[in-house]
Amino acid sequence: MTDAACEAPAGAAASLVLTRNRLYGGLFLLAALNAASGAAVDAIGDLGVAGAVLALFNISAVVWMALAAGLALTWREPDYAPVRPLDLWLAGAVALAALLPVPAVSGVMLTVVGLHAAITAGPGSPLRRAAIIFLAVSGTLLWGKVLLTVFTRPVLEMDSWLMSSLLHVRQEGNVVWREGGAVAAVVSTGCSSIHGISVALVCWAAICQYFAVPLDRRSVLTALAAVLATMAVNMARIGGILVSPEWARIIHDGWGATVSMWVTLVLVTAICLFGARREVFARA
Amino acid sequence: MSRVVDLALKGGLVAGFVAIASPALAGVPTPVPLLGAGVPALLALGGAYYLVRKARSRG
Repeated sequence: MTDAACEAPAGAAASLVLTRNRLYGGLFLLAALNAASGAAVDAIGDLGVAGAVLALFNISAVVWMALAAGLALTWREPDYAPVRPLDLWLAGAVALAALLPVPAVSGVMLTVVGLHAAITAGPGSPLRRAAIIFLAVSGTLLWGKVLLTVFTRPVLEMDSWLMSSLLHVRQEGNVVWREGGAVAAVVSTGCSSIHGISVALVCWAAICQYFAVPLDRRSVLTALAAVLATMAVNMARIGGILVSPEWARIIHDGWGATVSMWVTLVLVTAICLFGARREVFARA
Repeated sequence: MSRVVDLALKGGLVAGFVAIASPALAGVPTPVPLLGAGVPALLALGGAYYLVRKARSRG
């Protein structure tokens, strides 16, 4: 059963009412921050507090922007659907998960409340749009890592196979090398395109849902283009190591990695904005 | 009886999945080149949002 449109309470009471939108906004935030807490604690341990703040606690800026977009949808948009009993049970489960010292449990709860809100909220409603954003966020905070851990070998071999096909280099398993070249590159979990792809999908979901872009052929092609751009830059980076092994350290860890990060970020953002240009640049 | 076997198989599948995924579930860090890392990336995205808002208000 989905929400029907609900009337706003009169006067000052409107700002005090606990609506489904507001409840789920709080639940999404609590679950997402707890799911990200593992990375944040590691960042503080590695970089110190100031360094961790500057590194955004090793959480992508795209994810922070997506959180802001999702929260804006649940708090700003007028929708006064009342809270249901099952919502309160879910709120208790999210609070319980937040008490556990295992961030992944909150990641799972973020997925559960996101799915529940997306299914029960009305089509195109702010709550459903916010839920889709937070589902994408749970993908990058938890499921991308799980996918990579469970299917490490096939995922890395697929990355390597794509590289060998497009860059015309030799490949065996997750090792790629140039014919007659001096070095071979081992595609490890850190080099996989999966991480970048999950963040690119968060960017796409955040822009499309915030600006209410309908899920049609244009939108799906936009997501596909953003994913392909992420993979292309990653492959160019590893291809650069094979072509110029003497630059390997700079390309892999130094400013080469920084340049490839910025190129990917600009490309993904530009592609998502271009795909959604009709809605994004429509007069507010 | 077959229901018990079915349930046991499903339980085994879930347990296997959790066992294999446990490093990721436990939050074991992997070296990840982060897309959109750091405050400069956040400022760039914030700037892009500001420009979009400005363009929308102009129509």
